[in-house]
Amino acid sequence: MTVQLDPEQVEINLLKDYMGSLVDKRILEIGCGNGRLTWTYAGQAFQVVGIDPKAEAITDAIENLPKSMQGKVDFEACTLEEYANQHYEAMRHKKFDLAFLSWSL
Amino acid sequence: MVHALELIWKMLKRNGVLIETHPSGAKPSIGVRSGEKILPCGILEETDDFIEYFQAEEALANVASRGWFRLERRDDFHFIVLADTPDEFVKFLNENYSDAILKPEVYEKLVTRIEVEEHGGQVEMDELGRISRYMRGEEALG
Repeated sequence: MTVQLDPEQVEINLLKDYMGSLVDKRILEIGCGNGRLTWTYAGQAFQVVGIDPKAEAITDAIENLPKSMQGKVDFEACTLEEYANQHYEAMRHKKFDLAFLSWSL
Repeated sequence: MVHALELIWKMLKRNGVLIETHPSGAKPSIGVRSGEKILPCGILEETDDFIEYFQAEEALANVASRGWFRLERRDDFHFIVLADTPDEFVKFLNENYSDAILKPEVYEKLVTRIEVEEHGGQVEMDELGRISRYMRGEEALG
């Protein structure tokens, strides 16, 4: 690997600590990119939705989705506003327990 | 930014949690990592002086003051990027840090210091990140 991000996993460990128990939790990750952080916590959650406006990054995320997480993690190439508009009706009854805004405010 | 936080408020359950990470706004330091030591080579500049990160802070403070979110915890942390060569580091910056300016003198220092290190080295960028945890407030939007 020629470029490594967070090689000592400082961010990942802090994020897991901040998230706490994810059992039965629905999570929205905004700015998920290629799923770099998503993989580290999604296994514990009930459901994860990752969004990012960069279509290429989302394609990578979908291609690299571990089989064990299929059906649990969904990725969409869109902005937060687009996601909110597209899922407006569904979200009235199916809100998230946790939103993770990742380097994207 | 406030609009994005308003959307998130609407998407969260009553006791929902928002976790947010962004750069602290401090200019990332750049150096050569060789074994246990770091040889400083300079800092990374941005065309807009990192103004968007301060705007992010303002937006978060704004929604907290309105009662939409309540800050529970905050920490700063070192986000490290390691690249095997200066050119790979430049490529990474071009792809991921659109506003970044790596001054020629910093690049030259990276090249020189890696060359003279007996055991070689890697380019290291150390960026101070900030992570915050907010509890969704009960205040109505408006």
